[in-house]
Amino acid sequence: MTVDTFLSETSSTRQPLARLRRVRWSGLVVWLVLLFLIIIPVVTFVLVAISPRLFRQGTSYFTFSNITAAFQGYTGQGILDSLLVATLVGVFSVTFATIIAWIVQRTNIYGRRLWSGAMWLLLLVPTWMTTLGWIDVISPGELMSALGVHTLFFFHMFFGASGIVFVLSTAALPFSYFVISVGMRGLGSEFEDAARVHGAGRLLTVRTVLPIIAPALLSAFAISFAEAMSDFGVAFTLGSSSHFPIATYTLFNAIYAFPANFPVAAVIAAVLILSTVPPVFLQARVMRGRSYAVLSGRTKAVKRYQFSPVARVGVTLALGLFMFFVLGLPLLGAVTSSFTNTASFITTSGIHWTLQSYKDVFQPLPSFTTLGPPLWTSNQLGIWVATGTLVLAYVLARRMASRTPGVGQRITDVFLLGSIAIPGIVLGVGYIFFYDQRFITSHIVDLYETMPLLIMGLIASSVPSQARLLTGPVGQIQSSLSEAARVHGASKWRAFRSTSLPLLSRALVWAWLLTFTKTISELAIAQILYQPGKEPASVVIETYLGTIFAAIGSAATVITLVEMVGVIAVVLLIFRLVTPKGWRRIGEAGAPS
Amino acid sequence: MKLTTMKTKRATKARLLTAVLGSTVAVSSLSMMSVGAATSHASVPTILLYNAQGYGDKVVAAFNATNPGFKIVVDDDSTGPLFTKIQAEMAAGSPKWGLFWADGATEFAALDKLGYLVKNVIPSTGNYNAAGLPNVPTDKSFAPTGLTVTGALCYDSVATKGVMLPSTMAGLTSAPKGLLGMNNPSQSGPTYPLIAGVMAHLGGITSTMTPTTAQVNAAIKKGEAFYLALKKNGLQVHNTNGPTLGAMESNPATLDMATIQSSACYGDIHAQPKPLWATGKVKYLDYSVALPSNIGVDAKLSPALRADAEKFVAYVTSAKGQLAMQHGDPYGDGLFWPVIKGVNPEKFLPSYSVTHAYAINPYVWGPLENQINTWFTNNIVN
Repeated sequence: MTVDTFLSETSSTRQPLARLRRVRWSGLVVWLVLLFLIIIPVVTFVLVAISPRLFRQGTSYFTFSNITAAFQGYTGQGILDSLLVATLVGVFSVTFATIIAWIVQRTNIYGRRLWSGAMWLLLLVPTWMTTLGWIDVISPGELMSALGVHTLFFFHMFFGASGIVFVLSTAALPFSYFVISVGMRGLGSEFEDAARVHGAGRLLTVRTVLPIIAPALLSAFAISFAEAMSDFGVAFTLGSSSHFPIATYTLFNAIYAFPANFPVAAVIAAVLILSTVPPVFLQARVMRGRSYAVLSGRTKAVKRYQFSPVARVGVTLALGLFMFFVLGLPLLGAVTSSFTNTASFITTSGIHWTLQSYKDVFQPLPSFTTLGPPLWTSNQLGIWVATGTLVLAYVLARRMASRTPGVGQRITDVFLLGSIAIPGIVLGVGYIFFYDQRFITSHIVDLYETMPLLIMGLIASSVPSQARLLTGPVGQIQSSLSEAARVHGASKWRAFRSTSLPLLSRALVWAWLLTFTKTISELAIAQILYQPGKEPASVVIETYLGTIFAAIGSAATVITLVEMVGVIAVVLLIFRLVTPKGWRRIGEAGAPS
Repeated sequence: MKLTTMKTKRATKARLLTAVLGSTVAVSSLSMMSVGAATSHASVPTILLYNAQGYGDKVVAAFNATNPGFKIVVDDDSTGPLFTKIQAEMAAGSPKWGLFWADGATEFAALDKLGYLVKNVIPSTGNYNAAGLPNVPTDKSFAPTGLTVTGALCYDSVATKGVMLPSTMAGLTSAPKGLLGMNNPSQSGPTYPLIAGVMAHLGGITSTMTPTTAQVNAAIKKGEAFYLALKKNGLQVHNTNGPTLGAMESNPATLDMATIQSSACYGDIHAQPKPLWATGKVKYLDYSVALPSNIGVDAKLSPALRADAEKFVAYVTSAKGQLAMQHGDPYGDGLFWPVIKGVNPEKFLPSYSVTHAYAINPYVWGPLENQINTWFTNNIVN
């Protein structure tokens, strides 16, 4: 045997091993998890559109008739309306979020923490609560009527396209705000200074600086668009009564019809998911070949624009008024309604203030469930879902923020945004379609109507938006930080712990809290997948709100909101007690304050 | 130095406290991850009841207490989500539900047509009264357990003072403009039977008839014309009983009268400890539409479980079961007319004959539900 032969033989036997070592197992594991969490259940459901017989839904193994049916008449109109609504929501939310983010992050406005906190509160209030809060404000006989304001015009306007766009825009506003805020915080004032030094006026400075946060702006638009496309809360509350059909409502109608029209619902679901592709490609096209990494160990603290005292008060009041309008009023509506026990806030004999609704929440009528155990169940769910989501979302965010963009990154990007647009109800029914298959329940595992399946479903619905929200902060950390740690002998974990974790700590904590609170208020998946006898709080509240006992539902909503805020306070306190002071000072990438 | 030591100690204590708190919460949440479904009790076989009735839990508790050999587990929800779950489970091929209990017969007829229900579930001991009998399907694939009517005219006696209330269904089209409301059939389970009942009545199709397609189409056309006339007269459509009643009970009332389910009106009028709607009244027109509550058994249950499930059906179609239903939700769903001989309705209810209830054939009208609801959504709601 010659040396050459030996080398060639040994290298040929080693090659597969070496190739095997080069395979990125972590990536495979991530996709495997996503496969079972999102891809297979959703694809299974969407498959019904073209092959209804596979799922005993018709006579054809292959047909396009459902696609034709979905694009006709009412459902077709719903799809067009949804595209229009989502585009408007994207534009409105990004515009307002950019202005607010600039005011809060880059000026000396009073109460910066308060405004960021208000955005968080807005983020954790689900759209169905907002809508019901507004109904408690502007319906005849409700709060505004008690104040002597004639609201019938607004009431009719609310139950139409304007109401839907308004509620969805307020819901998308915090998503955009946080994404854009991160961009502005990471920017440093040196870019503005540089522009001004080179003679740029205010407008030119803005035009120079804004493109630097283009990823944040486009990302905010894409998230807002996808969130608006998939929102179930508005479809559930406003959609049915408005004269403006939207796709999620027609999908809801198709699924809850007698008998259910799963094939047409599947077509609508596919359209919702595919509609997110254009914004992602727009984003990719704009960002192609550019780097937006601006956050590093040398990032300087931002220099805030100093308003004159009068302007400072004026801007603060204007922002306060705006936040009161989008957040305070609907909350006030829900709160005032919860302190009465009558069909409307004002009755023929005046307003009857009482705590009866709060008592009824915990000592309900025979046919209703008390809120205590469901709220505890929701909290337990929240812990599991938030923790699982955080791990997976961080891994995905790192892949998305990779410095070596490739096809995989693009696929992940499109996949995540497409997943945001999946309505919860589709995930829920998709989970039944797949996990309740006889071969799985009999030979692998019988998960349907157990808590683990509900947890999986809730993680599947949270991961896409959380991963995209974390992509901003993760993408802004320059790789040189961990590279330096590695060069100095740190292990991978130590490099992460000593460089990325301190910078990201607050973003991670807030991502956990957001998922936790969203889990508590989630309705669409919970209603389909909850384990019998263990109803989550949202299901119980929805039961109340759909009846004449809406005041009890409002009281339950208020209690749940207060509990959510309490958990946020406790977790932030723990974060303050446990983490080194340095973390709190620098760990602000992506944090809202 | 001393300050640094104190700070370190405080930080350590805080971390310890957090660790203890975190561990406690984590351990208490561990039970969540058990894959044991609600129905998997090792000691006794269990049957899952998909229940949309307010009294379901109470009735099941009473039944389980006297039937130790197996256990009924309740999954409470509205009719819509439960019906969707049943169909999705059937599509997947591994149904979990064992019993389904809800208002209306059309969804049961749909399940029966798909072969999902056990035939002849009504026990020989089932002693139906005259009101119950017309609602028993010929193949006995589901059992009527109670009767309410939909299409009764609920109204506020103060708001309608001076208004001549209609006394016939047709008269609603000439009632004072904008005063009448009803529910959205896409959202409210009892509303499609009302619309179908109106169409059937206008077309002269009774529950025992097997009408031709032409007869059904003619009835549908007449019904559509009726609802278009109501819309022209300012009909308001709210999602469900709750918002419709709320619109009548609010101040100022945005609705003076509505054709909805009788039990919902009585529930508010006779609520305890004090009435929610003291000025509310119910008027029966020339006809209303019978809305039976029904129970059905999954055809895919094992023979042993099927026999157990049928014991529960026998219970709720017995006098004892009917009383348990009434007592289980006395001011809500319990306000029904019993379908079993020897059981009286709650004292608030008038005689069933007063309602002039018109029964529909669910096998004729069930398959038309999507078509008619879509028409209603397109032409009346929107």
